[in-house]
Amino acid sequence: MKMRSLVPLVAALLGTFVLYVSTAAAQEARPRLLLRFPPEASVGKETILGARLQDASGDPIQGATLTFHAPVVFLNTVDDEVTLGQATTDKDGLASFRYTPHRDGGLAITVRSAGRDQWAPVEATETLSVTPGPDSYVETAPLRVPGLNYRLLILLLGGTWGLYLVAIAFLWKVSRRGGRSARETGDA
Amino acid sequence: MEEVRPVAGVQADLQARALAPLRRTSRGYYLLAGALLLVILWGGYAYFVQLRDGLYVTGMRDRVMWGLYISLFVFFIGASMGGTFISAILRLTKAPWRTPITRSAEMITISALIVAAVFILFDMGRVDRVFNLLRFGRWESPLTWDVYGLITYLAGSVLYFYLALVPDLALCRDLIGRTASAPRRWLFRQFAVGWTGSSEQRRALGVAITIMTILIIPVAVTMHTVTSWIFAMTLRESWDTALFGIYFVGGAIYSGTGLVIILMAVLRKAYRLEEYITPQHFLYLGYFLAAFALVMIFFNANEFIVQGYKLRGDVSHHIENLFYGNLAPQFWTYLVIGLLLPPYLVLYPRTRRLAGIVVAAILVNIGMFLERYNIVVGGLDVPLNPYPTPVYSPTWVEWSLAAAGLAGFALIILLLLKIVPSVAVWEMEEQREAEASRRVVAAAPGGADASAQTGISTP
Repeated sequence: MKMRSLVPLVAALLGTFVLYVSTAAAQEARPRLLLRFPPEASVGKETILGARLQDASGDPIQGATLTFHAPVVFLNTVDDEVTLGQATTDKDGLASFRYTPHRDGGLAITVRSAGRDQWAPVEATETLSVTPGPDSYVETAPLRVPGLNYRLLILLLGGTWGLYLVAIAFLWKVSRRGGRSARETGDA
Repeated sequence: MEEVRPVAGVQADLQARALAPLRRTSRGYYLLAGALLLVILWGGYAYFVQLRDGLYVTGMRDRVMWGLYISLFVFFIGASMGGTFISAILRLTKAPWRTPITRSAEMITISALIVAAVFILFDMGRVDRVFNLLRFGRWESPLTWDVYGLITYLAGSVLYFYLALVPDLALCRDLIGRTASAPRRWLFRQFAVGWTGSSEQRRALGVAITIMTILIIPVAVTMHTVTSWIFAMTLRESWDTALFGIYFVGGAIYSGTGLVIILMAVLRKAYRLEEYITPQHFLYLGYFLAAFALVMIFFNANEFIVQGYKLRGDVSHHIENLFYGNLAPQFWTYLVIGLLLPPYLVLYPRTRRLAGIVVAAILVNIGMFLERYNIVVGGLDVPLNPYPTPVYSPTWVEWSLAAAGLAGFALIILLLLKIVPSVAVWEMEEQREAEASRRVVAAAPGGADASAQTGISTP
């Protein structure tokens, strides 16, 4: 085969190889997602959660959709997560999401970008510290008396049944005396 | 000088009369038991329809979800408390006229508590979930308090009833044990727990009865107060009142006294106990009834004056409903025949007789049932949202089960009368002996002279 007829083949192979490598490189070029949360938030008060999406070289990524997620906690076990909302990055790669927390404590918020051809999916998690606010439900009874709870009920019931047992004990004594009398009569 | 029959003769007569129902069964007893059973069987069919088709067959709906069943539940809890209260208070105060009354009062308590619990089961759509009340009941809920309270009160009432029964069961064991059927013979022997009447046994039993007599009063009061809290702890205008606890307790004693009077009148007539259950007993209980009628009038006046003065929120709707709305017939009937007429019958000399007092007692119970109905249904009648006022009307299923419950109440007492004497024979004998001794001591300086005059041998 002459060298001249191999050139198109080699070019095609090289082109394919370059295309593959560039795509793979793009796939491998994971962007960076930097979260900017306020140091503290308050229940019932709106706060702004910020995020910045940059490509591997540090350039901002514009027009990317970032979704914000929070865990769902029920009966002290984390079952799932809920989507809080989404925001789109601007020319500086910044996205702002307005969020009103309804529960105090540490809230781990995860921000995700689904990725595109040019960049891979990425996510980041940061904890938002939420303090109780005026809208918080404070779980305290209006009247707090030490011991005025189910323990009092148990005490009352237990005391009553205990006295029943005392009465039954005296009845048992009656029965024992009767048995003794019967034996004495029988012996006589 | 007053003629005094020999103690031994009185004793024999009392025992004969009190034990007669246990020795033989009259045709009237069979007829009555049969009729009650028929009513219960019909109620069983009604319950089957309810279980099959659901609570939809009743008049209860989303807005009036408690009706006849809960009204009767509250009524019977009240009746039970009245019985216990009378028995315990009279025993505690050693009232000399208590002895023929206590047994009837205690039988009413047991029977009423059982029937009250049954009405709760009727009210449950899924009766198979009844144990969820114990497994998953929340401690904060008045319903949970009521469940545990009912169990505790029933257990205490049964124990209280049984302790005072031991000497009489021994009497049955000794006098009719040989001729009684095998199950009853076994029952008398086992539950008499070897009673011989020795001083040691009397002391021990006395302590047990004293413990229960003192304890059962706060248990009974607590039970009925907790029942009232099922309503008072809600935010419904007509139920949300601090008065409910004492109101329910007062009403319970009132209706319970009435039931005791009725039962005593029936027993007196049926078992020829005229010599032992005298008109004097009815008179004293009648005074008790009149006193509590005045208490209930005071409670009602206080409630309506205070609420009517302000007419806050939905209270005006409730008061209109009671005074001239769809609950007016029940309300005015309750006021007149339940509150005003009974004390008049008892206190007016011409009607202050046995018959008049029994009529008053019957009117009291009719009135108090209507009062419970007004509380339960009337409270739910007030709409919490801007919906049309609900109209509740019990269906044939509810009336059938109500009749079955009432028949069950009577049947339980009827069955108890086949097992235990209708009056506390040993207490009455003890009392007569004590009275006879006092008479002998008071009659003459010398013991021999006193014996000759009265014919009673001194101990």
